[in-house]
Amino acid sequence: MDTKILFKPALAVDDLETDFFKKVMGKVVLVPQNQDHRWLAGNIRAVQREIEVVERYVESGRHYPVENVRETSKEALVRLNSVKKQLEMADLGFPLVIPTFLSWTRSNKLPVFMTLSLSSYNFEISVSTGLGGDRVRIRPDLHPLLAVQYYPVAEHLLELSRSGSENYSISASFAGSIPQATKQRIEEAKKTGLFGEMYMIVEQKDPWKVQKKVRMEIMLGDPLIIGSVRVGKGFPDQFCLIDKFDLTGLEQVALRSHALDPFYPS
Amino acid sequence: MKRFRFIVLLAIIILALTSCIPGEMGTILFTSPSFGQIISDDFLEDSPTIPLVVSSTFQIDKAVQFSVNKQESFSCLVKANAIDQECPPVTLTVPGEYTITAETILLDGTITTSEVQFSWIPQETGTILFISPILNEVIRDGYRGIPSQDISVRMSSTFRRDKIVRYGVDGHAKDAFCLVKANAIDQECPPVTLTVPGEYTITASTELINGSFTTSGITFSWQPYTKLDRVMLGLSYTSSPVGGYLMVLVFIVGVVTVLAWMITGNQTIVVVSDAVVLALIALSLFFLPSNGQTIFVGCWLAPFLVVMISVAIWMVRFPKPGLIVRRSDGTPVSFVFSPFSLRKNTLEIEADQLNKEFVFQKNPDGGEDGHKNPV
Repeated sequence: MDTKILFKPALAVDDLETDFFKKVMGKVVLVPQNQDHRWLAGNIRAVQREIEVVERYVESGRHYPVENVRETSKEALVRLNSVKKQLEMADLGFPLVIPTFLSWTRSNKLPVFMTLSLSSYNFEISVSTGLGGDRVRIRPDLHPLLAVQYYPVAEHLLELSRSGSENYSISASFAGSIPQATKQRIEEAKKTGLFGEMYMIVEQKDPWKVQKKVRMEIMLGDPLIIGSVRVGKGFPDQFCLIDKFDLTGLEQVALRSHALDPFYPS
Repeated sequence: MKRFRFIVLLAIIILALTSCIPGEMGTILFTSPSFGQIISDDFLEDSPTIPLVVSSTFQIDKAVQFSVNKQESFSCLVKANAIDQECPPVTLTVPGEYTITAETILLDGTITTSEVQFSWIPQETGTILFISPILNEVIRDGYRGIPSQDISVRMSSTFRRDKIVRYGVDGHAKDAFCLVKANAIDQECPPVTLTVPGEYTITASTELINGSFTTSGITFSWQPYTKLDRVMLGLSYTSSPVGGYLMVLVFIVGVVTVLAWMITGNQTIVVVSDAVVLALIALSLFFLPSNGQTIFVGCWLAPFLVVMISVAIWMVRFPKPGLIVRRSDGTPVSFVFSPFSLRKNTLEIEADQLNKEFVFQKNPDGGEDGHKNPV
């Protein structure tokens, strides 16, 4: 297997052309569906060697020559380190999750998924307009890369607030429980020390209701457990799937399209 | 026989002449001092005098012999029918009752007397005040290595004459004496030596010229520095341990700040951590046998805590946004995180750039197209 392809920003790569890559938003995301340790370890070593090469380019200030693509050495370094972390996490059994599916909305422009912390099962998006500018508050505190997924929803709520001259919010609660096996998996993930915040993503099946005051909608759901992973200083964080159980249809679709999931190979 | 007649005639002549001389009438009256008068003036002279004013009802001038308490005597020629005639003043020697007697010799050689009684009870006004120690003063020491403390004593006086003041600390030191000058403003007196820390009352008393005593006193306390205070004293390079406490405070807060910043990187948590640590320090001071705590708390900690807590409240009230999405017109949409969020920096994203990197993706659940997935 030619590992060089791992480092190419193969913009035109099609899902059918390779089982390594999946085109997501114009960038190549490595999806090593092969969970074989030897395969992953070999690729990690290969990526590491390539990182060392690029680092020499960075020191010299030259561009890293990539086929058909102008990419600075620093950009290449970011990409390679992200790939390396992705492989390392996959080797540990934590597949990458691209959290963009959180921005999915229903016909009423309200989110499909709510993102919860493991300590609180309440989710709320509230907006306010005023002299302080447009402000959005999401509870729980989300990683900025997760919070930004709710930007379209926030703009929708802000528009409602401006037109109605009142502040709006939406909220929901998760009334389910995490299975014991998932709890153990979470504990194992915590012990690795690789994860920062952990979140539970649950599909909001019942329709959201926009309200001027916060109101909790009780719902039962079956979540995904993800955690943020720090790649390194200056590199964007990644998100990995820690566990899941009794997925809904949309959650399964989200996993298939946005995660390297050893349990749901595409 | 002839001789007998001469004697009888002479006797008749003498009897006749005797019966022709009229009897002398009159008296000396005292206008000042009056009978029963009480003189309360506080004379400053050693031998104060009061005027002696008399009247006479004699028809002729009379040399009147005055005596004071039957001891001192002087004479005064009182005119006939004199009204309020001044005679030599009367000298007062000691407070008490006085009797002035006026003796007049009549023409027939007899002596007539009149007298007046009065009292001199001077009312001396004034007071002795302590300049040092001050009321409720807490006296510490500069650690001289000996378990004693000389308490500086300074007094002021509003008496118009010098006063010998006797002063002492209740049962812990021998009484001392100090000559306090008249109208003294700040007169230094011998210090009082204490050997046991505690609260004391220092009392000064002085005798008035009427024999009574006036006293004044204040309460102060001596709280020598503890070992902790002395350590802080060594750190402060001043005569007060406050500087040392402040240095330790700054050090602790600095360490907490650095640690909190290294661990969390969140300025709100740093501020809250510092406030909590300061509050704990303030709380612990109330349980430590430290004398510097009062100054420490009063001078430094309280305002510092107020500032820190105000900053914490401000940051909770106006939290720093963790994410800003800036629209094409430049207006921001701020995603406000909890003040206790562990986010270090604010992520700022251009909405235009965000939209460019969005791709349309049909909701697999059959939802409306148009939702976007950011990179």
